[in-house]
Amino acid sequence: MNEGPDWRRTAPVGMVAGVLASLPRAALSIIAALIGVRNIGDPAIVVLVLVAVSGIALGWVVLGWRHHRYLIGPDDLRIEQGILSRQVRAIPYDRIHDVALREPLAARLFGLVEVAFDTGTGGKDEAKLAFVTRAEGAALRDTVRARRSGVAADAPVIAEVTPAVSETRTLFALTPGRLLLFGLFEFSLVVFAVLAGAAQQFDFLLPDLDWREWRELGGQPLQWLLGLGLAVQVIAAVLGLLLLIPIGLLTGVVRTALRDWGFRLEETSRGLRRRRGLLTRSDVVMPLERVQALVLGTGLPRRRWGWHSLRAISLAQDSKDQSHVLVPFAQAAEIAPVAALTGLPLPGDGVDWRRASARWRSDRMVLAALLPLLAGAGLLLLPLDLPAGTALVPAVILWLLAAVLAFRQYYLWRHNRHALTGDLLCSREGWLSPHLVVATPVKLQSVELRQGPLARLGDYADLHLGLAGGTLALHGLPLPEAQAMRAAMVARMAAVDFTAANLART
Amino acid sequence: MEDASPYADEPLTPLDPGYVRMVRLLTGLALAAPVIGAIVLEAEQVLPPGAVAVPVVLAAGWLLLRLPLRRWRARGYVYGADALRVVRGLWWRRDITVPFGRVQHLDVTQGPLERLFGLGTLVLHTAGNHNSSVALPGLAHPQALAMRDTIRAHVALHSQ
Repeated sequence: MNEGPDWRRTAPVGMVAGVLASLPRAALSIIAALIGVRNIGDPAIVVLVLVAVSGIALGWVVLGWRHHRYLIGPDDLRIEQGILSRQVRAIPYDRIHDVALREPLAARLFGLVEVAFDTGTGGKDEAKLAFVTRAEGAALRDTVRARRSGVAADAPVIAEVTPAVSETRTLFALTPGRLLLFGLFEFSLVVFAVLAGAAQQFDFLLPDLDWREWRELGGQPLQWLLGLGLAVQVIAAVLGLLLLIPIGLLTGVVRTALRDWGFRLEETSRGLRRRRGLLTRSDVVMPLERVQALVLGTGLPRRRWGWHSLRAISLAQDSKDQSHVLVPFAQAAEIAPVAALTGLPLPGDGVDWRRASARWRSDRMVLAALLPLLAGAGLLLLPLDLPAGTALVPAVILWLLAAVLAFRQYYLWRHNRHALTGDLLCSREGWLSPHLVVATPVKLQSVELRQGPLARLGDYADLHLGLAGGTLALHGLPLPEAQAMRAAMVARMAAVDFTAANLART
Repeated sequence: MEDASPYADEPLTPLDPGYVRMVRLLTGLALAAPVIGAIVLEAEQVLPPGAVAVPVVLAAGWLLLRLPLRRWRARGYVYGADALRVVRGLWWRRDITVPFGRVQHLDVTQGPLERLFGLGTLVLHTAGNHNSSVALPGLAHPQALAMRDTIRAHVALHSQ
């Protein structure tokens, strides 16, 4: 380790804070160790063991601190850590979108902070420094912000706005009539799940009876119903199920109204502004340049009448619990202008759609049907000691299932498609409610070709694309096509830097 | 399955030969227990001679000598002008390309065994949900550091 003059260590008191912070997690093993030690008997040995273990732990903590240091370099921040496994992390200043100072309880006792550097990796394996003094943390944040070259990413990205927005244009508004229709399609039986959960939570309020007593409580009418015979019971059950329909529809309408009442999407100078909600109004602005991809979705019955929704996939760090629905329920013709505005227009006619490889289709059909096919054959052929004739019906059902599963794969192959035309990558996938993803290679993060043993035999490959805030994969492409697509996309990606592609500049 | 790369389009740079030695050492450590067990069983003469020891030793030999070499041959990378391509996997092949302009931050890590063989692992972190960190193990440590610096310089240069 070369001890350069500029390398700095974290605050020594931080060791104490670190130990305190890790105590809750270590509590179980400490208790277990104490119980184990009690069985030894000889107090001298107990004390010796405790001293030795504490000594080793203490030494480990000090060593860890000695090996944890950071350097504020000319272009990047370096963080070194690890005793046995060493890690040197380099974080270019230009990639640091924000610096957060956190104060966990243990750190606050000593006036320390944890500095977290948001580099847009969506919180996974984020870069952080624990712990430094509050003054050092603030200085570090200021230094990093100063060294970053004029990128205007400091403003909270999706923020509550106090609109002094000059020029707005309404792109989509959900009328009450449309909302009602939308709600009907959002049929939901979630209310029964809630009721069942409530019944479990509050069962102490219900009388403590077993089913026999309940039947007696039901008294004459129930006895009468039980005496009526199968046909009437079936009719009663069907009527009960029919009753579920209005309940489900009503739930859907109420939930939709609560969420999407007064839904309005506007184009402003700062991006797309969306307002919605009946009881909790939400008002968010999404800068256009942060949109990574669009997803055009639909549902099983609503698809029949051409109703779709449009959702944006935004940079990973924005997407914690944020919904990015741009248009919740509309016809394709209403959605197209919104999509075009984000720079990701919906594919029109004359797009060169491609299908997955035929070999992929065959492999998938065989794989999907294999298990029920074999299970059905096994029912008939294995000596299972079943009464004569009873195995045939389940076997036929299993084979029918195999046929359906194989057909599903065939259908998917027929209808799934993708296209790479210039700056747009489109992929349509799904069986009953297919969705269409429109992305652009310029905003992809990585390209992966993946092949299992079957894929290598059949000369096809899956293409997994690194999308910030979402996932996108094309399955079963013929290998030469997959390679050509990768080459084309990597060339487009390499031409534009991440910062240039995603952030507004000052 | 062939040992050679199925992609004839671009020659892959092989990993450092030290990687084979490291994988062998790791495999050897994991194999020590079953091999010793088999030899003890053999010495106790509870089973017909050679029934356990011969297959175990043969399998261990294959795992120790042949497999690390095949794994080494299946891995590789292409360090291009503006992108890094990492290939791995014997049966399930994964071939990942990350343009330098998509790197958010970089790590060079070195485990205890890697340190023994002078190796290092270069990790590129991207903003994508899929492949948010791409690791390239089995580089000579100084080379991993040099690659880290070049990629980092590329980031600083192009985001201006």
